[in-house]
Amino acid sequence: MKKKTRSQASRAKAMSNIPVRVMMLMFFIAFFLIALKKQINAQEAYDALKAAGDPSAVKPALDLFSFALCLIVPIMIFIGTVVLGKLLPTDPVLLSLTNFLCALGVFVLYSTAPDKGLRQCMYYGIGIGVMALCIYLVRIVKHWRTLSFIVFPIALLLLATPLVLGTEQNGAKNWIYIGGTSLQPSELVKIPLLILLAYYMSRRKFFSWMLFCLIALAVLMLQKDLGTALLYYITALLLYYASTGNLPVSLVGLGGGAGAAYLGYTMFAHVKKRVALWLNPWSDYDAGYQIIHSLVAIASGGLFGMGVGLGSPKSIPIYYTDFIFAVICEQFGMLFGFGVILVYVFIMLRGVSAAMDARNQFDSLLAMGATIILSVQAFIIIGGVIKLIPLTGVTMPFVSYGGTSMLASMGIMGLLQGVASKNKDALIREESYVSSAGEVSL
Amino acid sequence: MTSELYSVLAYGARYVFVALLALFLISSWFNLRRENSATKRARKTAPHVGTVGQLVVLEGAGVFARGDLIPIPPEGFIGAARICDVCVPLPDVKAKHIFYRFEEGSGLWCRPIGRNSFELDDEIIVDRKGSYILHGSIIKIGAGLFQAAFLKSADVPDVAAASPFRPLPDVYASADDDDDGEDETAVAAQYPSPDIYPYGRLSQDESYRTLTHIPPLYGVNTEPPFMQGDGAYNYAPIPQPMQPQPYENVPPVSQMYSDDYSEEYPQEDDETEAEIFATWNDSGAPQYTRPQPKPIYVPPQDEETDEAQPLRRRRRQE
Repeated sequence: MKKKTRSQASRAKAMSNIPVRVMMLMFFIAFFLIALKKQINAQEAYDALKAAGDPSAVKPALDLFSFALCLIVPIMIFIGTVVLGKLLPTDPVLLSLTNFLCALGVFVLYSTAPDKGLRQCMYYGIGIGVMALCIYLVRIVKHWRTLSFIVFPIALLLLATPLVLGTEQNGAKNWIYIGGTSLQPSELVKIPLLILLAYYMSRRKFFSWMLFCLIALAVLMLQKDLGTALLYYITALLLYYASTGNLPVSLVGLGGGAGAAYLGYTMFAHVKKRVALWLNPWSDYDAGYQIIHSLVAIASGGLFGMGVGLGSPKSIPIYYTDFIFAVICEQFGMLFGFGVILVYVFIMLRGVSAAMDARNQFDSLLAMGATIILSVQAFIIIGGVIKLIPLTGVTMPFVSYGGTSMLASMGIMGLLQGVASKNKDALIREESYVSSAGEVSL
Repeated sequence: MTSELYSVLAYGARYVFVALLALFLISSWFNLRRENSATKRARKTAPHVGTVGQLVVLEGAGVFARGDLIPIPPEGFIGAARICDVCVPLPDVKAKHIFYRFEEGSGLWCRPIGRNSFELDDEIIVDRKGSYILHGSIIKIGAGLFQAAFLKSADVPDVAAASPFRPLPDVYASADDDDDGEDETAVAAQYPSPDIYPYGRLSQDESYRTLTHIPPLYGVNTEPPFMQGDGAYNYAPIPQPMQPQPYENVPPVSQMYSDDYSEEYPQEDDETEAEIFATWNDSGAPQYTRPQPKPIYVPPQDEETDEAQPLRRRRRQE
């Protein structure tokens, strides 16, 4: 007996559930393999000690927590995608893509450094709260003028804090320590940056946003955080072009940026070194150690990867932040790595679509700014890891280890989701007015 | 389980992960397309989606036809440049002439850019404080003249009712809408078909509010609007050139009573005057119709000052 054909609505609903189910299955298998690997490693260590006659050898117990993660993480994915999608006004496509990247980051970190993986999971939970806050901020706030007066000085003060209280890490003084927790203000300031750029550009307040950008860039240059400075600059430039369509001035800005980059190259020795290593990392093995091992790891993985739990991801320096993409390519393969790039491309496409459908200029620029900053950041870090461009110290959005990075990325996603949900509400409202136009009295 | 067995398992799982990721990407792509096509589908079935109203062209300066409709997005620029949200490539209109923004409950706030200016309800706007375009407002930008019409869903007040043009009765009223005992359809039937109005297409669109304050057609018909019997007045229809009919041996009436006529056309003994005129009228001579005299337009007088009341525009209540 033939089955009845499904209606279009049920087909669409079934299609929308597939990404969630696929994610849950993928990470169930991944965490199961990792738990199995950990158990095998513990058993082999015990067998080696016992063979050597060590009386202190203790038979390893079953690591229930690792096996429980096989169920916990898929449940968290379900809650983060389906349940959260019902509780908050979100965009389902963006939510599923974001959750995939976050879950991938948690898995890769847990497979290489379990404590970092669990902490990343905690940051993801806090990030959901930040995302919800930003969604409601975009939906509730109608007049941004007063907020801009408050946010402007606070953002600049926060950005300048490392100059006074900060510690130098990897050549840049952009970290502060508060109660044992490290914080990177330049990551958090991305959210006010987007709001201020969108507001001032939509109101044609050229002087205001230029002043903010100049001060922010100057502070970042003083901190030697050139990667974030590059990100801020490109975001402001692309957003300016999106708001005005003024190609000549945008090209002048691009030229100015190139000039500043050349100035940085001549003034800062470490920039010269990075460019030289980008051109030929094998010229100085000690200095080019990071990029060389990253390339070797990507090549070792081949098309399908070395396998979960196999390979030597820990031989890649800073494998949990800057070079996490190399770890993904080593474990899962270049095809999988290409798929991760496509996920970012889909986020970019959905973000641009939300910007085009926005009902006012502020929302449009906010969505466009959020899309630009996430896409450019992903491009900069992935490009640096695969030696397409010189390496900079930015993190991979949603994937790299780091609380501030995760909170900032989730906040930016919240701004984008807020605009997308406003577009949806406006569409439903307009359609309802049109369909009942004959019944509405004047 | 041994390491070797685990390695085999992990090698096999590699392909599973790539396959699952491919499935995830394909389904995400379909969902992405479905979301985007939902918006496109809505725009096809509801073309007003994304707009707050339309500008009705009263004078198009050769670029637009009278009655053309230009949709207004919620925010943007009005100007001659193609990138403008409301593109009006008319003489004396700058590339970006006006910036506007829709404010719920207040109207379309607009201000000229730079040294540009425009007229809004007979008032020249030059300052950056801007003004509000209301439902029914008349805007003159460069050589073009437009009237703003907003959607029912847009909460915009009507332009001031204190105008020399009293509102038209609702020509689309059905039976007795205002419970005054009078059938409005009979009144509506006295007015010409809406097709001759410049708002013909707009007024048939139920999404839009009726435009109740209609100005005369500037530059097209400079004559004042006709007065109707009940005091309400209307657009003058486009005047057609009146071709006088040729006389065919029909003398002027004044000559009919002259002595020369009597000599030229002697009255027969058995014909009376009435019979002659009856014959003359029945001869098939075409009648010459003189045009009806047009009433002089008299604007309503102010009872106290006996002066004509100017067109007023409602200002934004602070």
